[in-house]
Amino acid sequence: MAPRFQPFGYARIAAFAVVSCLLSCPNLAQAQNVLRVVLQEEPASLDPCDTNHSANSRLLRNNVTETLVNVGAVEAVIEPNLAISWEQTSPTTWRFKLRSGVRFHDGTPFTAAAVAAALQRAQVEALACAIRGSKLGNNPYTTRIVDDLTIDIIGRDPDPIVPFRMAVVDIGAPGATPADRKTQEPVGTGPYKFERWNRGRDVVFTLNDAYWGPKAAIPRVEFAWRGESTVRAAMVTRNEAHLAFGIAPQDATGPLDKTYLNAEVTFIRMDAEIPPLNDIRVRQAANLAIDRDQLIGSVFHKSVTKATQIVLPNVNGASPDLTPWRYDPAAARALLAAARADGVPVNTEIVLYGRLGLYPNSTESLEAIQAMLNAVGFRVRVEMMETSAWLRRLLRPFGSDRPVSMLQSQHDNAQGDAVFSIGPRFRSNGNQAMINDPLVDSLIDLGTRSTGTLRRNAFRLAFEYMEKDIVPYIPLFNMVGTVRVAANVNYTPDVQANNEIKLKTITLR
Amino acid sequence: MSLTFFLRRLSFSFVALGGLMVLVFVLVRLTGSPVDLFLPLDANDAMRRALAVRLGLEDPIYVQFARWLADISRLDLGMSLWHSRPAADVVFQALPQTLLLGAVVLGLGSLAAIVVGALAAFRPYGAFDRIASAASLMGASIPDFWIGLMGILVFSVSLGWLPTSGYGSPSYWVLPVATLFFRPFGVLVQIVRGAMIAALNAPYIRTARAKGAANRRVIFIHALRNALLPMITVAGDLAVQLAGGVTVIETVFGWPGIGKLMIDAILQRDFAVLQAGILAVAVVIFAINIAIDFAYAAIDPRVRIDK
Amino acid sequence: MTAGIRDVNAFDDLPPVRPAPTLAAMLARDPLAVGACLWLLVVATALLAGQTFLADDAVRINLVARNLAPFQFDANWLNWLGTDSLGRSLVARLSAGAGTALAIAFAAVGASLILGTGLGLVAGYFGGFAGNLILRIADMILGFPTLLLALVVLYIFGPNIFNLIVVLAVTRVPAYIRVTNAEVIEIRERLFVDAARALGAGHARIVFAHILPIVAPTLLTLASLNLAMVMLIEAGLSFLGLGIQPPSISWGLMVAQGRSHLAQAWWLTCMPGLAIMLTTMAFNLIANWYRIAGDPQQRWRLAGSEASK
Repeated sequence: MAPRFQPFGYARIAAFAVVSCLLSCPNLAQAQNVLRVVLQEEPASLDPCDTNHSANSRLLRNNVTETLVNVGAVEAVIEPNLAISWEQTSPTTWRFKLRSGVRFHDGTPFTAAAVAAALQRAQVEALACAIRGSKLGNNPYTTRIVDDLTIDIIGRDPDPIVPFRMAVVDIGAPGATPADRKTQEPVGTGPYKFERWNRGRDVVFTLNDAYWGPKAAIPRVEFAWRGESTVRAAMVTRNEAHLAFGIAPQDATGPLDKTYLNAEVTFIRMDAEIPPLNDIRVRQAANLAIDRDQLIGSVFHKSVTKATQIVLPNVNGASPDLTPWRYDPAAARALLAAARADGVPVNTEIVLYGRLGLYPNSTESLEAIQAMLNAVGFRVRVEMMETSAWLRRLLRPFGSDRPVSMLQSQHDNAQGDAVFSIGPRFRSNGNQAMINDPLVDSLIDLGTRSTGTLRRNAFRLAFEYMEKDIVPYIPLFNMVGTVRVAANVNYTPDVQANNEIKLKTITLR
Repeated sequence: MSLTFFLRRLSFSFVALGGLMVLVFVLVRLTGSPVDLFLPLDANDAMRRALAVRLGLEDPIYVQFARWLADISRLDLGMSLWHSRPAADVVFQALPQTLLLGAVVLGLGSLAAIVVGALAAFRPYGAFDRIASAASLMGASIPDFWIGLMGILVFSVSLGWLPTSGYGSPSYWVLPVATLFFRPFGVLVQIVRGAMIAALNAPYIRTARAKGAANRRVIFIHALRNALLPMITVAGDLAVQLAGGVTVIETVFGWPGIGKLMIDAILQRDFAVLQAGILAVAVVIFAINIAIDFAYAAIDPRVRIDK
Repeated sequence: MTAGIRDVNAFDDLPPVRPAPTLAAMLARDPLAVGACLWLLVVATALLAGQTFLADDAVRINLVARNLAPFQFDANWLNWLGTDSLGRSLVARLSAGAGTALAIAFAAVGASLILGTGLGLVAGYFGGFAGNLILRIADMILGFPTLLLALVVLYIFGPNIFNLIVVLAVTRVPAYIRVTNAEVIEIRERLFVDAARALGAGHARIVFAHILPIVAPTLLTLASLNLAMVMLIEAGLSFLGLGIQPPSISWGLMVAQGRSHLAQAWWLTCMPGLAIMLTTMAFNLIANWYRIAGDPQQRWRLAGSEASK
């Protein structure tokens, strides 16, 4: 064997390879009939009952599968969708009138039986549907079909907000959605039909010509996903995508970047059961020590607003009257000094638990907050962790020999009613609550049982009492998301854009 | 290199594979449960317990392992909790893209490294050697995600020559391959160069060269063959790293490979996918290692691997 | 058996005898090695400064002075290499990060080098069942994804530097085992080993006096390359959220953190990336130089004016 030694032979081959690659570059000219959307992550499941995870629901919800009702994006009011009207007929029963003339993508008509099947399926233990969790509560719901277009939804316990809950139950075609296992080829009633899911690469929807409402404008939608904000932003710049979600504040600088309030509120929970944070003066000092104005536009996007409570003020039951904490380091120092004088161990090291990637610049924000807290006399140490370890600190049981801590958190009340936020976080038995106050408990219970003004006022009182007299949290910001929109696309993201990309509102210029 | 040797090697590997899977099975369960991650924050205790029971996580670990073994004997690698479909499907849809990418990178890297390393060794400390050594070292010392992101910003955004990311026609391969190329290339150049210098410096070759040996090419080829041994070992090490998934690059470029799948499975505690993925990758790695052992024997007849 | 003969004749062919030059003189002959030494001096100085008087500046946040560009020499000297996204001095942070980065790299590479070489010698020299066992354990470690190992160890024992070193060391061990084993298998068949054995040398003497010196250069080259690899893996783990995390400061972590500002502030990744690159290159150049300087047959390259031959 005597292979000839030709170093430049390889160079020739390499050069040829590069040139041929360049020649076969895809034609990036815009096809007018395709909308390309790039997201942060691939959906895990496209089953209609897995829409609790936003990575799944933002593709499916009201695009392929629809819900009986929707929660308004501006005001938290219930709007008709597949149901045209609803009323409470008894404390446990709600009657929904369904839209007529609606057909699933497989041609079968949409009827009360389909609603019954979808709701039943979502509650099947063995399927472990994601929406079963908080959204349907631990109140089993049954159905009674009155006629083809009328259905009663019956809870075991009285439930004044069944319509809010129905806004998260996506309804798939009974014939195409197996009752005993998950499907990855959803069939619904929406303006788009599922065409294919090429794993790891893309998901494709095509226009549903037989849609019951005004038809969407774009014949074909392709979803892809990339992990890095820089890459997503570059894809719109390069005309490879029309919409890029999750653009980090530092990348969101161009005229194409549209910012929207995304319903997320960030805050820091304080462990009020352990010294020194069990002293309210110390918790107030922590709030006064944060210079929120300086964080806006530096670590956080310049359009975020200061949070006053853990939900947006437009949520049903939130307080519109609370004001954000002011920045007053002198007052913070004075409060700490007063606490120290009373023997509160304010010099104890406090661990500030953070979650990696909770929002853009998550780590940097905590480093800045740590510096601000330490500047007034706290001794705070940041500890960043991945989601599972963070959840262990967030959720009960907290453990009896735990160190005193603060915990970075974020909450999104997309359902529009305070009950979805307040119980788990503030009631003494809530799985994330570190406070135990009988007055708060009774206000929450009163609100949960009631409807209308009484409900609103009970929750509102609970929020105000907590923010003023308990101070269990350091509210930070009402967050914004940024989507980069190609110049030839009309799209205005709304507060629900993290959970729903409303494709039927998008047009091409 | 008899059949008995091959069978013995295979059975040892099989035992090692079993050990690995036991280890993986136990260790992943020490990192917490997927229940809290999968269910919404506000799910109540009853719901959490119910899911844990349904996933079999409440049983003692040896029961869980026995069940997994029983399933595997029926070629069932379990259902993925997050993907709602068989873990084997999830894994086998991702593995080929990673292996293909790794093979292209390693192939190009090895070829380039042999050429550059051999030329550098021919005149140690000459100009070409110094430049090649410095350049290859430099390439091997840059974080790959940095090269990848800069590549996108320069070649896609600024120059517009290449697509930013994704999987498809050859143009989509250029940036990921180029990004991954540097590290194997840099490492292998060093190895080839070092081994070639040693081989060319062997007394009998030096004598031959001093006497103006008739056939320099034969000498060169001979030295190259000696250099191939350490190179194959190191290339095998690199191949193993590439087979495990080039997670960072898959994340940056949206490459539908096993690395991204595994990091997601790790972070989501998707045990079925994790176990299936590690099993699949381990089989590939063991196969690579066996192939390397045989390559030794083929290159150097003095190596008696069946001792 | 030509290979055996070449070893027997090894001493027929030495270059002309000259007085052995001093190490300093040999160093002066290799400008790249001199540069490498100078760079390591700079790093050592920075490392000391980072642990002492720059330690506070490395964590001092100044949101007004965010992402200041480097090389503004009219500004405070601490900002000459720019500032990061929280306005912290990159000079101070690079210095503070040097200690962590080098400690992790050295400890991990050192531990894996010693352990891997030892096991590889045993496996290659004795072979048999023990050898096979060691090699299959190496296979098992190779089959175990670094990421998962990192997750398991860092989840259970906490994401601190010592645990990261353990993870990195364990994942690098198989490479040394396999390389050592491969070389030893070849060397033990050479004639001089047989000769030593015939003269009654014990196993320990054969391994340490005859085999190890021949294997060592390859292993040291591999180790100097692994220094880079370990720093890069550290950066990659931080990128994926499994490595050490702030408030720890390390070059790899700085590169990973800076990447989200790549389009606005290139220096956040370039400066620590450059530090990693130059430092690993320096180690490699010195390793190469020492390999020549320590080898009587090659020392001539560094000895006289004809070194450029």
